[in-house]
Amino acid sequence: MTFDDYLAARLPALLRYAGVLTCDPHLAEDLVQDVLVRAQPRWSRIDGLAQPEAYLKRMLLNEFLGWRRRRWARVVLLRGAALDAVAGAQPDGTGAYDEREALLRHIAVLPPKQRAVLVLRYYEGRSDAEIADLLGCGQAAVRSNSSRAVAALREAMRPQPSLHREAP
Amino acid sequence: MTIDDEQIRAAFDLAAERAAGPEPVERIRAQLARASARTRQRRLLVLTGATAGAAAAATAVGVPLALDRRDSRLAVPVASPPAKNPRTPVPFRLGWLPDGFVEHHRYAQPWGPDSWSRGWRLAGDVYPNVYAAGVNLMTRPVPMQDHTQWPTVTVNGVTGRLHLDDGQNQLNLLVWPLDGRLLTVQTQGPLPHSRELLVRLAESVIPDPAAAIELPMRPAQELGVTSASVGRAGPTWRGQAVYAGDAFTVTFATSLAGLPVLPDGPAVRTLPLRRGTARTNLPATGNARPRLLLQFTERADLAFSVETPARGGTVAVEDVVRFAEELVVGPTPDMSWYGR
Repeated sequence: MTFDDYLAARLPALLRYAGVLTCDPHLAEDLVQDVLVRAQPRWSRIDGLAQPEAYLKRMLLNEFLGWRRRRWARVVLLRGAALDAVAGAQPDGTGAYDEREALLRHIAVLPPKQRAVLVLRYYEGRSDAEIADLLGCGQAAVRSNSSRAVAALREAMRPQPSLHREAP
Repeated sequence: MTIDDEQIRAAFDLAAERAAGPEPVERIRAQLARASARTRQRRLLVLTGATAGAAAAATAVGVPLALDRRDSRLAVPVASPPAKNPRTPVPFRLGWLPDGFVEHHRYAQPWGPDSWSRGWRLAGDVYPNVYAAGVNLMTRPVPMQDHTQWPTVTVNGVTGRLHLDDGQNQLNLLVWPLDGRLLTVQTQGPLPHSRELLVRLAESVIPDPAAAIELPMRPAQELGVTSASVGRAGPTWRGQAVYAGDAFTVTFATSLAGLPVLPDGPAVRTLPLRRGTARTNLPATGNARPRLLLQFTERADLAFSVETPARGGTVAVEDVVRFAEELVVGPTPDMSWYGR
């Protein structure tokens, strides 16, 4: 399969994966672009692998972890529908949307490794052993990062006391 | 509030959904095409320089670098409106299709007669659902020799090459020469992975000399078209064209259904224009962003984004206003093919 054929079929899937890692469509686009610009001249070798997509996803994951360390200080998270693409996602008008939106905002500020663990576990459905292999750490570290991330999200999503009191 | 696994998955699904619209797909493909062209240009220049000697080689390497560093601001020529929309032909079509399939997108990247694609989907499918059952007909950018590892098939007496999906990508291809060019018919998604289906599709291909992709709007600035597409979006169609120069990449979108309006909020500003007003995603406290979106208040069906190809570059409000005021809007394109 040529590089163009692969892009025609799978570029949206790579963008979705990068979108989940970065929690931001613009950063996702940058991330995928960075990786594909490097993959393009090597495509004949990548295409010869048993699972080219797994290889590209690993490149995305590594780039995300390294890239955030290098660039995060000067990248401003762009949030909200106003910064979606010209025809980007629109609110679906349900409470569930707001809940997902709020949770995503909290996921977006988790440390990169915790976020990567959540993505691999909940979005990719990978086992602790697979996650440990992909991240180059032990399974205990995977479980620790996951439980810390979920605890942080629970705390962040806990209802806050109202600042407004009803008039007597 | 407790957080369960399903809520985390739902939040990730939202992030995934937001990241995979048609615009980023086309911008990345345009960027990869430019990167590939730059690589070819550098190789060519380096080769030229190598044969001409060391001094010439130094010049050759310097040329593309100098081109990359050219002044980032564009001159602003005044262009007269075109008599006709820019168009590029898509000169073949499928004469036979599985039941229920209608044409629902056309795509050209790079813009020109040798790099086009036409797609048919079941009526009601929304572009670009890559998992849906689909049939595509397109030009082939690489020579037939690149496919010698694929088994041969005969298409109307001519030898072609066939690639049936191995289970990973849900994509089947048949490549064969026709009238001096290499064509590909492609099936995807839950269609039979069968040699017979691909051969039948390929053998049905007939000339369609009047078919084209039309661009209903373009910037006045001298930017080249890098890609264009027209396809289904919700209940109606949507067109998009990407123009790129050294300083800016401009993506235009138009739709009969109207495009999503930028919502009110602190991150959206109303801009006065000579021909009305527009809204942009520029907060009142800022004057530049990596990419600015603009939608005309009086023409909700027209919108565009302006960004800089250079990583870390920004677009100022003056830039987006200039593109808005000098936009050339042509006649409504012929969309009679759509849905047939």
